[in-house]
Amino acid sequence: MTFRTKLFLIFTLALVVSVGLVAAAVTEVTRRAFDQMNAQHSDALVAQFQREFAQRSEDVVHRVQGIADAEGTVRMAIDLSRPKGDVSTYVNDATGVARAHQLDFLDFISNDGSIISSAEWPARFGYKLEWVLQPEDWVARRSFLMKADTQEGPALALLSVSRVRVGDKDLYIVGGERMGREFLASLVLPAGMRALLYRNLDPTFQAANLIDSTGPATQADQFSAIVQKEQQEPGEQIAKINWTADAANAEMFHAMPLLGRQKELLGILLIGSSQHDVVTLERQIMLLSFGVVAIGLLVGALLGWWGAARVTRPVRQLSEGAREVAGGNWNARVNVRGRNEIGQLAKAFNQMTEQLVDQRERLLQAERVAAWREVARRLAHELKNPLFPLQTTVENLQRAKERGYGEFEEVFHESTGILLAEIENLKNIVVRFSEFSKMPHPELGSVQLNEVVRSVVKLFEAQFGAVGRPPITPELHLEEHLPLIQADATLLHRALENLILNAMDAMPSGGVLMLRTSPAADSGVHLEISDTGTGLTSEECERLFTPYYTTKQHGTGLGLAIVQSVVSDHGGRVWVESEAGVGTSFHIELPKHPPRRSVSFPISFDYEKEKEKEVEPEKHKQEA
Amino acid sequence: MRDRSRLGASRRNASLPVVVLILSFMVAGSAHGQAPSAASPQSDQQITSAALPAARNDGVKTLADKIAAAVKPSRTVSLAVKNISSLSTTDVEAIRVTLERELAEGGLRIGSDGARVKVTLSENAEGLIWIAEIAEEKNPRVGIISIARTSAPIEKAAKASVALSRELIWQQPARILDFSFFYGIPGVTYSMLAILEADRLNYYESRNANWSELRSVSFPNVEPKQRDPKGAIANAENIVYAPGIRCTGEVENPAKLECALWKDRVMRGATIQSRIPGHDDNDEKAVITDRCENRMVAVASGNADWTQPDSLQAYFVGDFREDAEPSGNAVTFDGPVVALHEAGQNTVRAIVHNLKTGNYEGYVVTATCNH
Amino acid sequence: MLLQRLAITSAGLAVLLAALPGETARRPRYGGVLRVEIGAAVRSLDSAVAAANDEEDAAKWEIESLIYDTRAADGQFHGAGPFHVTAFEAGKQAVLAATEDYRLGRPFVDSIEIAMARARQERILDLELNKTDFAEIPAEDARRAAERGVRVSQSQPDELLALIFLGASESKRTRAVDLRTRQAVALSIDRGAIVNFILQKEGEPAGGLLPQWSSGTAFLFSTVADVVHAKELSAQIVPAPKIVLGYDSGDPLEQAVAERIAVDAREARVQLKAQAVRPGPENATDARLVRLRMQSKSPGPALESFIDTLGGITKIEGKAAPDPVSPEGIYNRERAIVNSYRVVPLVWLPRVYGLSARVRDWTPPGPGESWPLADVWLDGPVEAAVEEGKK
Repeated sequence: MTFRTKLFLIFTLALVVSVGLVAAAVTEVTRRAFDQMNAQHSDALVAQFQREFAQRSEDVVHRVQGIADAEGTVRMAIDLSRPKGDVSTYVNDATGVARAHQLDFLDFISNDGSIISSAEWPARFGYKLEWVLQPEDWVARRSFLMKADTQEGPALALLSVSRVRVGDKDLYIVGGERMGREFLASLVLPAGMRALLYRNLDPTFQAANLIDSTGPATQADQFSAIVQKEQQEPGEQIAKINWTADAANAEMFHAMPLLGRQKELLGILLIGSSQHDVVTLERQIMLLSFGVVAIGLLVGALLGWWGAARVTRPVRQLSEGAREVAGGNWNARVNVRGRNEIGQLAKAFNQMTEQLVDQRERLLQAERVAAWREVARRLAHELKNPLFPLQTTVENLQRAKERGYGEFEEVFHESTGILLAEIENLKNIVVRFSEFSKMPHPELGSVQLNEVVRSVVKLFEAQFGAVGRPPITPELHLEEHLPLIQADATLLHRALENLILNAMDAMPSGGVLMLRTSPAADSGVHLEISDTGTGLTSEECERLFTPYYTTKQHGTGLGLAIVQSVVSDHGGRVWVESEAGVGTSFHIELPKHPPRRSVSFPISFDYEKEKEKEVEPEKHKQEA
Repeated sequence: MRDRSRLGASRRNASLPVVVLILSFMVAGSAHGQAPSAASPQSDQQITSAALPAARNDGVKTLADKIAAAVKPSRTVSLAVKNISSLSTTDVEAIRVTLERELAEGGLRIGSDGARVKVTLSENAEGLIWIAEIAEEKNPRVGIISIARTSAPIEKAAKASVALSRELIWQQPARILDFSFFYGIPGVTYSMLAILEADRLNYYESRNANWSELRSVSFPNVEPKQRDPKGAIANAENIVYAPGIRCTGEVENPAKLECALWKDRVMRGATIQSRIPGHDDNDEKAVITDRCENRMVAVASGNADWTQPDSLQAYFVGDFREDAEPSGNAVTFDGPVVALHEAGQNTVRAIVHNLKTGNYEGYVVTATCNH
Repeated sequence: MLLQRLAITSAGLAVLLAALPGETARRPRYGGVLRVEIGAAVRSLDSAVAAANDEEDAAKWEIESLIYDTRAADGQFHGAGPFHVTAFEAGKQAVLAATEDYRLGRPFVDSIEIAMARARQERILDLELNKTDFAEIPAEDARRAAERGVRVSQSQPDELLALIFLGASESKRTRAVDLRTRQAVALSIDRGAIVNFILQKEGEPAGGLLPQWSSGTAFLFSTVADVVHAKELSAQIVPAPKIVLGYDSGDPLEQAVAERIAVDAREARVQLKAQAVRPGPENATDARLVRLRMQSKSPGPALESFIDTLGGITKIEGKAAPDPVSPEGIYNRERAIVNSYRVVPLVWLPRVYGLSARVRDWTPPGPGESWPLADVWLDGPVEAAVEEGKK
C-alpha cells in the first residue's frame, strides 16, 4: 500500500469517523427529540382522554340526574311506592327516555332491585340487578365504568346511578353511555395517532374485543401481548408493535387501564402513535446524513486524494528517487521544492545522492585503484613467479655461457625448457586476465538452471572419479518444478564450473559435492553448492570474491570473481557459508528477470588520473 | 264481567303425579225457555237437593263414582273443591255437599288423610266442566264431567228498593219482543203466557207448576227482516204488533187471532216531557200508571248500549221544563233492557237480553211508592 | 255470547265515561258512515287472487264476510251480504254500502269506509283523535290505548302464541332439538312476565293448547316456570345446547316475546338466540314462534284445527284419542302434545278492537266469526231523512 494510499485512507477514515460520529449524534439527538415529542403527544392525548372521560362522566351524571328529576320519573316512583303499584305499565319507558337523553344504557330499577324497564335490553324486565342494592358500591362515585349485559353480549359502560325516594321505597335510575366506537370517534387526535379500546370482557384475550373508531380493529392479535400484560398487572405501559418488517410501519402504543368500581380491569385504552413520520424522518435524516457523509466522503476522498497526492508527491518523488538510486541510478534527483520537511528531505536526498554519486565515483575510483592495485599486485605476483625463474634461468644461461659451451649446452636445454614453461605460464596469466576483462554481458534467455547444473556435473564426471584421485561424490538435489529464469546459460555454466573447480580444490581427499536447487522469492531460483572440504575462515569468506584473491597455491584467483561477476550481471547475489573443518557452501540466488544494467563502469580508465584523485581528492572534487 | 283472576289462576303441582278425572257428559240445551219455579226460602239441605238441577245432580253422582273408582283401594279421601266457573257460591256449596254425600254413600270417608282429591268446578264454551284430580303415586288419572249451562237455577230476585222490584217470568234463547201473562181466563183453569217473537206468538200454559207449549201463531213472512225488531202485545186493544205485522182478534185466544202484514210503525210508548238524562225519544221507557204522591212515575233503562248490563230506574217526571228526577234504587239486570212496555197500574214489562246466558228474559217490574 | 271487556284501570274507566257524549241513544239508529282502518293492504277482493300474507288474508276474509251472505264448509262465500262494494282501490281503500234488502235486515250504518295499510300507531292515534270508528289493535297496545282515552273492546283470548320446535325436515339445521333441550327451554319461560309486561296484562299465560274458557281444563297445564329443573336438564346436555328461535320480522310482539324467551333461557344456561325471519320455509332455525287462531269456540274442532296446522310444522306426538270430542279425550290429546315439548304454548291473546265513542252494539266476534259490523250502529247526530226512513 503506497504512502499516498495510506495517507488517503487515514484521511478518509478520519473523515468518515468524524462525519459518522456527527451523523450518529445528530440521528440520536433527532430520535430522542422525536421520542420525546411522541411521549409528549401521548401524554397530551392521555390527558385529553382523561379530561374527555371526566367530562363525559359529568355529562352522564347530569343526564341521569335529569331523568331522575323529571316529572315522569317522579310519578313513576310515586306510583310504584303504592302497595299495588303496577310496574308493568312502565316496561317500555326506558327506551324512549334513553333515546331522548341520548343514553346507550338506561334501566329503571325497583326498590327490590328488579328491572322495571331496560333500554339496552328491553326483554330483561323482572330480572334483578343486585349490585344496585348495594349503594356503598356506587354512591360515593358519581360515575363509574362497568361491564354491562346487553342483548348483544357484555359491553363496557360508563354509568351513573340516581335514586328517587318516595316514602321508604327507592326507584333507581341507572344510565350511561357505551364506551365504544363512538367514544373513540369523539376523541380529537392529531394526525398519525389513533385510539383503540380493548374491552376486557373475557378472562383471556379476545381479538373481537378490540375496537377502534370505525369498528373492530384489524390485526388485533398483535395486541395480545400488551393486553395480557395489562391484565396481569394493570398500569400504564408503552409498547411498540411492528406491523411489517419495515420499521416505518411500527406503531408505539401507550396503554392506559380503565378500572371499575372494585378496581377491576374493565378496559384498556391504547393510544397509538405511528412511527412512520419519525422513522421516515429518521431515514431521511439518515439518508441525508449518508448523503452528506457520502458527499463528504467523496469530496473528502477527492480532496484527500488530491491532498494526499499533493502531500505525498514529494514523498513519492523521493521514493522514486530512492528506488532509482536503489536500482542503481545514482544520478536520480528529486525535484521537490518547499521549505517544509519534505522539501528539506528532498534537498537532503539530492545532496545525499550527489554525495553518493561522488562517493561512488570515489569508491569506484578507489575500487578501481584498489582493483588495479590488486590487479597490479596480483599481476606482479603472478608475473613475479614466472619472471623469477625466467630471470634465474637467463642468469643461469649467462653463467653457463660464461662457463663454457658444455655447461651452456647442458643448461641451455633445461633452461630453455624452463623458459618456455614459464613463458607459457605467463601466457596463461595473460589469457586469464584477458578472459576476465572480456567477460561478456549476459545474453538472456529462458534457462532451466537444473539443466545447467546437470550439464556442468556431467562435464566433471570424469574428474570426480579420476584415477589416482580420491573420489568425489556428486549429490544432486534438484527441485523438479524449478521455474525458468531469464539468464545466460553459458555464463552460468562458466560460473558453475568455477565453483565446482573450487569445490574440487577444497576436497583434496575427496568428499561429497552437493548441488541443490530450489525456488526462491519472486519466482527466482536458489542454487547451493556445498563441499565437505576444509572450510574457510571468516576473513577468507570476506575476501573470497575479491579478484585474484585465492587460497589456493595456484590459480589466478579470478574464478569466484567471475562467479560474482556473472551473478551480479544476472541481478542475483552470491554468498558463502563455511565452517572450518566441515565444508563450505556457496549460495547463488538469481531473480527471474535480471534488472537492467544501472551501474556502468567507465569504459576508459585513466590510472594516473585515478591515482591522482586518490592522492588529491579535494582538487578533483572542485573540478567535479 | 268475567273474573279474570279465577281463570287460569289455578296451578297444577307438576312435581306430584296426579290423577285427573275429567268426567264429561253433555246435556243439550232446550230451544224453548223455561220459567222459574216459584221457590220459597228453604233450609240448606232442601235448597241443596232441590236447587241442584237433575243434570247437575247426575253429574255429581257420576263424579263421585269415578272418584271412588280412582282412589281404590283407599277408603278415605281428602276432598277439596274449588270453583273457577261462574257458579254462584250457593251452587258451589250445594255441589260440594252433594258430592260429599255421594262419596259417603259410596263407602268413602271424608277426612284430612287419605287420597287427595281436588275437584275443580270449571266451565268452557259449551258448559260446565268438573275436573277431579287425584294425586296418587301409582295410578294417576284424570276425570272430567261437562254439564250444560242452561239449567241454572234462577235465584229469587232480591226485593228491590223501595221504588222497583222485578220478577222473572220467562226466559228463552230466541228474542222476545213482548210477553203477556194471562190469569183467570174464563173456562181456563191454568195460567197462560204469550211470548211475542219477531215471527210468531207462542202460547204456553202452566199445569202443575210446569209450563208446556200450548200453541204457536206464526206470522206471515216479512222481508226484509228487521235488524232491530220491535213488537208489543196491547192487551187492552187486543192487538199484537210485530215487525211488519199486526194481529187483531183476541189476544187471549190464539185461535181467534188474525195476523196480517202491516207497514206502519210499531206503536210507541208513552211520551214523557221531562228529560231523562241520557235518553231520547227513541229509548226504552215506560210510564207507571199509578202516581206516587201525585207525581207521574216513569221507568227508564240505563245509558249504555246493548253490550252492557242494564238497570231500570224510576223517575218522577214533570213537564218539559224540568228534568226527570230519579227516585229509589235501580234494579239491575245481567244484560240490556231491550224492550219496556207499560203494563198498567204499577207494573211494566221489561225484556232483558241476559249477556251471561244469552237468553232473553221477560220481567215484570213493579213500582212501589213508599211514602 | 262473548263478553266485552274494558281496560280495567280507574283512569281508563273514567276516561271511558267521559268519552261518551251526553246524548246517548239506546235503541239502534240507522245511518252514518262507519270508518274502519285496517293494517293490511288488500290488493284484490277476487277470491282467485291469493293474499300475500296472513294479515291480508284475514282482512280480506273480514271484508268478504261483510259483502257475502254465507260461507260454506269449503270456505267459499255465497250470496249477497249485508253490504256491497261501491268503491275499491287496491291496497288503499274500500267503500261498502248497506244492502237495503238483506234477508237478515238492513245494516244500521249506511256504509263502511275501510282505509287500508294503516300502521298500528296510526290506527291508535286516529282512534284517539276520533278520526276513525273501528280498528283492530295489537293486544299489547290495548292498555296504553285505553290510557290515552281510546275505547277498547276485547274478545275472549282465542289466539295462541306458541313456540314450536321444528321437525328435522322443516328445520334447515343439521338435526332437530332433543327432548331435554326442549324441556329445558319450556321450563325456563316466564309466561307471567310475558303477560304482565309485554302484553300489559292483556292475555293469559298458556299451558295447554286450548284456553280455559274453551276447554275448561287449561288450568291443569302448568304455566309456571321451573328454572331450577331447567338448569338441571341443561347441565346434562353436552355440548351446551344452542338454539335459534325465529320470529316474524314484521311482528313486534313476536320479537319482544322471542327476546324475552332468550333471556329466560339464558338463566337456564341454554343459549338461545332470537332471530328475525321472513315468512317462508327457507330459514335455518330450530324453533319458531307461531300464532294459532282458534277457528271454533268448541274445544274439539279448535284443537283439531291446531293439530292440522301444527302437523305441517312439527311432529305431533301421540295417537288421536278414541273419543277426541269428549273433554277427557281433548284433554288427553292436549296433554300428549304438550308433554312432547315440541309445542310450547306461551300466551293466549285476545283480539282487541278500538272503537270510537259513537259506535254502539259492538260485540267482539268469537273464534271463526267475522266482525259483526252489520249489527253496529252509530250514536250522535245523524241525517234526519235517514233516520225517518230506516226506523
